[in-house]
Amino acid sequence: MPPPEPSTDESPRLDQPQQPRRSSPPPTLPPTSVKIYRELALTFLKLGATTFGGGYAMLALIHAEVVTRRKWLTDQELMDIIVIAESTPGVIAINLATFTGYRMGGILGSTIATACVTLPSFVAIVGLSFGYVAFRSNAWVAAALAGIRIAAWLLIGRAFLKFAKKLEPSLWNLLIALITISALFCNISIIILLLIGLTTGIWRYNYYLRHRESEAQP
Amino acid sequence: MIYLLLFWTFFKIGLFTFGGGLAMLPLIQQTVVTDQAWISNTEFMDFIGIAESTPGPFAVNIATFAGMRVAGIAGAASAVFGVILPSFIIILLIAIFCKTLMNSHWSQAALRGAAPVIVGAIGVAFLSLGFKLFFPIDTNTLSQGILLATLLVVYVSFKRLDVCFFVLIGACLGLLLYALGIPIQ
Repeated sequence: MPPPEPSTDESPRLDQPQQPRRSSPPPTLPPTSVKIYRELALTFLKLGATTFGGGYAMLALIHAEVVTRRKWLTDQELMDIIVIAESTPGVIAINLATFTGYRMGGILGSTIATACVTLPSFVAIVGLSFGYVAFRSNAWVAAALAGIRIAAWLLIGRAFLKFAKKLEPSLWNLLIALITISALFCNISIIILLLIGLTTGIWRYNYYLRHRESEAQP
Repeated sequence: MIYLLLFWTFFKIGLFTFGGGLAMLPLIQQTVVTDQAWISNTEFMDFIGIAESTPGPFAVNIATFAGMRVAGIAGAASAVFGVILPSFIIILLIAIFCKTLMNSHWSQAALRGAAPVIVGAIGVAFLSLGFKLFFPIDTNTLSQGILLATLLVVYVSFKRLDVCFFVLIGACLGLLLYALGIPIQ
């Protein structure tokens, strides 16, 4: 795949095709142009407004929009991005938007894509939280919220089952999970526990590599 | 300054979020509810229900909600900026500097190490929030039991559960119990 074109020559192209070609469809625009920014903005606004439940729920939609419809990325490129998004910290939906935006329109493109994927839910939640504060003492709203709370609790249980199923069943993982549980009852910071988990992951991989080498030598 | 504190708190949450969905829920609970006491456990549960049935990434929704509660729209903006900035910077650096795809075996190995921590932490969050949900004196245990049982039946009978639909059923059942004169609270 071609490396992404850094946005060195954006500024002259930015204002070039704007006014005269607005009415008729432009013949062949360079990939980094106003058109691509507008399309990035519209696409990621749409994705941000229509995907429920974050990153993984977004994958099917982002595939339909970015690979099938717009043909911005190939299947393989999207797979690569997903692998990177999964193996780096951060919100997966944001990772996907930033990467696609950069591929298509450099740093400005990634900024636009990231901002646009965030904006719809930001506006929706700001509106909802005004409503929440105003109406939550209303008896009917309180009754509905009491029901929502139990549904939310079950959704947490569902997330627990989902993550537990993905875990490979080994004594080591059970041990780490039990240590985490007891440490959390002693109010130890989750960040510290995550750092310990990450370190043991690296340490075990290193051990595995060395072990394999020493087996291959004789 | 509250905006800076919001930004920094959610920056840390964004930086230590591995895996999608509710993976960062225990971390948010610990920092936002327990340490900073910005929102109560009850509000947190409300947020989870609302955030899961609103479009957009869960982390962004929760950051917006907490920021709004603490310091209005500017607070929400600083929290959201904080939670998305780590992803944005890291992915941008990878996209700029790794022309060929980097060897991600090491980071994948590290994440495999963190996976049991995430499972344990979500389990603890599930239990602790359950205790706070079901054991206060002012709640009607019978109605809670009816609601929980009905939701469990819904949960089991749908193979592909639509989260928004599920939360809506919870809300309708809460309203129904209130209309029948046996409210949960």
